This record gives sequence, C-alpha cells and structure tokens, in this order.
Amino acid sequence: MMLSRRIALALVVAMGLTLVAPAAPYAAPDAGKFVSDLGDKAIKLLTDKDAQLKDQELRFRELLREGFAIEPIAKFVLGPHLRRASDAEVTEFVGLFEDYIVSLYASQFRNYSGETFQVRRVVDLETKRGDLQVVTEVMRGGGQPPLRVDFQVRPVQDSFKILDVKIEGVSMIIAQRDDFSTFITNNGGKVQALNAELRKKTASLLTRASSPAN
Amino acid sequence: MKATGLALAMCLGMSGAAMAQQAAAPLDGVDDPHESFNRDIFEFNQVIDRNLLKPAAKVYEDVVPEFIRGMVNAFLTTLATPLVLGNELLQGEFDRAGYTVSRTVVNLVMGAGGIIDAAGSMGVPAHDEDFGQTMAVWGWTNDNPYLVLPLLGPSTIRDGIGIGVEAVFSPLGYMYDMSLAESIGKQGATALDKRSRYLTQLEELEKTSLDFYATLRSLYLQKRRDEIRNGEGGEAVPIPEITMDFDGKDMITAQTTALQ
Repeated sequence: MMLSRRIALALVVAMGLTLVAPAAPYAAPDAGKFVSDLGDKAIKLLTDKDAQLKDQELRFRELLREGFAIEPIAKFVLGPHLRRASDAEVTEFVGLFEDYIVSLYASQFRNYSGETFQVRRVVDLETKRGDLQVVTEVMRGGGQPPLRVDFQVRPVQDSFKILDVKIEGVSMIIAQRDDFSTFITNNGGKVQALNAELRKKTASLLTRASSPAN
Repeated sequence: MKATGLALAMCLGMSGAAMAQQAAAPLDGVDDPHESFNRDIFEFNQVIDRNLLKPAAKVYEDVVPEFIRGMVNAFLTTLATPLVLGNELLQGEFDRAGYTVSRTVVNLVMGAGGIIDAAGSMGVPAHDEDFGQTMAVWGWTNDNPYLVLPLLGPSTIRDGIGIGVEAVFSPLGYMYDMSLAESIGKQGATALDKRSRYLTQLEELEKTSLDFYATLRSLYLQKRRDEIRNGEGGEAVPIPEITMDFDGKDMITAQTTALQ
C-alpha cells in the first residue's frame, strides 16, 4: 500500500520535473505573501454567499491544514501533559483538536462583516529554526482602531507553516495551552478527560453554528 | 530616555535594584499559588457580572445610541489623561508623553472639550498606562501571584497596589476636588463603558473555553506584559523541530521530532 503510493508519488514528481522550465531563478519564498494569500482564500470562503455550512467547514479545514502546523501546535497545547500521555491519547487529541478549531470558527462564520487585513512587515524572530513574525493589521469598521495580528511562521520546504497567531500581543496557542493543560491538571492529569470534554464542546459549537439564530 | 526614568525612580526612594532581581514568570507553567481562592472570587465576580453589570451594559447598549456612548468613552479617556501622562513621565517615556499631551490638546480644542475623540479618528488613539505598568518598567516584573480582585477582576499584587496608589494619588483628584459621589460615578461609568465594549467577546470566550477562569487568566497576564512593553517585541513561541514526512495516512504529514 505505502510502497505503491511512494512509487506513484515518485512518478508524479518525475513528470512534474520534466514539465518545469529549466533554470528558473530561485526566489526565496515570501512569508508576507504566504500569509496574505492564505487570508485572501479565507475571506473568499467567508464571503461565498452560495456555500453551504458543511461545504464551508470542509474548505476551512483544508485551509487550516494547508497553513498551520496542526500536529506540533496540538502537542504544544498539551503542555507538560504531553510527556505522560500515551501515543494513542495524543493521536486522538490531535484529531479532536483540529475538529475543535474548525467548529470554533464555523460558529463564527456568519459574524464575518467584511473585515480585511494588510500585511505590514515581516520580522526575523532570530530563533535557530528561522521563525518569522508576519505583522498584520485587521481593518474594522465603525471608527475602531485596527487590530494588531501577528503570525509566527516557520519555513518548511518551499513554503511556510503558521505556528501561532497573536492578537494584540496575546498568543492564541499559549492561551489555548493554559486553558487545556489547566483543565487536564484539574481532572486527574488525564488527557482522556480532555478528549472527552473536547468532543462535547465541539459538538455544542457545531450545533450552534448550524442553528438559525446565534 | 529609560535611564532618566530609572534615575527618577531611585530619587523617589524606590529600591529599583532590589526589585529588578525578581525575574518575570515564564510564559510556560502559569503560577497561580492562590488558585482556589482566586476561583472563588472569580465565581463571585461572575455572579455580579451576570446579574448586574452585563444586564446594565446590555441596557446601556440598547438604549443609548452609539454616538453618545462614543462621547462618554471619549470623555472618560480625556479624564484619564493626567493619569496616563503621569505614568508615562514616571516611566521616562517622554516621546510617548508628548504624544499624549498633543492628542489631548487636539481633543480639547477640536473635540468640544474632550467629548469627541477627534485625535482618535485621525489615527492617533489614546495610550493605556497605569501605575502597575510603571512599577513593572521600574523593575517589578514579577507577575506573581496572580490575583482576582473582588469586582475589579484579574490582577497581580503589583497591579493591585498600582490601583491603590492611583486611587490615593490621582492627579485629577489634586487638580479638581472630586467628591466621593463624583469619583464613584466616574468609576461606575468607566466600568459600564468597558463592559459594554467587551460584551460579545467575553461571552464568546466563555462559550468556547473548557476552563474560562484559566483562559481569562492567560489572556490577562499576556495582555499586561504586552501593555508594559507598549506592544513592542514579544517572545517567539518555542515549538520544536517540525519535519515533513511521507506517511501512509496522508500524503504529507507534519511530525515533531524529538522533544526539547
């Protein structure tokens, strides 16, 4: 199974290489462009009047996987409990974590009111793995000042993966980790307890997303 | 600029060196030694919030038109200026202090005496400073222990003392003799104004958190550090190596390698 997949992949790659024009000059991938392209795709998805909620959720999940390093983020969010959890529990958690994030945003889709964002600059965070901070501003209506949103991205192969989003200086994954690992600590240190609670929370968020009134 | 501020601090008798020895609590492991006590106060605050403040804020929002609420907000910001200015000077942030003065003058002149945030609509929003931030700049960077104050909400000992100091030494109190009724009125108006602005966000947070108390604590402590830094810098989140592997499950899966 895996072997034939690898062969298939090798064939695809080989074919791809022969089709590419030789000697194209190497352009370093642009972190700012990566974030802004991802954002454009998200906005397109949010403003698609004809899309069904299920369809939007699917497309959102694809964007999430494309742009974010979900598994490393999920493992970070477990905090000190990662070490003590079994592989099965961790794998289950990573899947549930992704579902939870999708449901979190799905329940907010209808609240999108046309906000846009602008990439301002890219800052080198000077970590040993080359992490960069893409600084953006989200423009809101009603005379409110723009929101400062920073994306911590890491170069991966030819592109990037987002590791964290900071809103007005507050890191979302640190907040998530504080929430989840405190929960685990207060529930006998069991990741299973977290998994069970996540399932419930995700289900209720999805129900809210598809209910007529928010 | 900062050096001058520190010199000022020492002249005022604060032992800056001793305080600088306390290291900031790491963003990892949240230290909450009084957690069960804090949670009790938190529950108490939630009850007050649910039964008093939130309904009041909802009424405020429903009944009072946005432009009037905007004026109240602008006016309260103007009233808070001496405090913001005082703290910026104490921190040695003279450029920021100059900005605050200019901004306030603009609002007093063009903003009908400070009830319209003319400067804000020109892209010059108010700064947020308080004595807790000033003490942090002077060296009291320790966020411990986290405290939930009755009615006032999340804080730390440092910030709690800051609030106390401001209540006693408020520059506005010196300039204009406020009666107790007036200052309570001002506090109440500020609370209402703030609460109405964060109504939906806090509701959202409660619905989506597993542990609302822990989430709020994290947001508060992170926001404080951001305020103290005035929005600059900030640490990168320490996520270990991620590699791209070809896996049976997915065409491409990101996996972590050895943990730190």
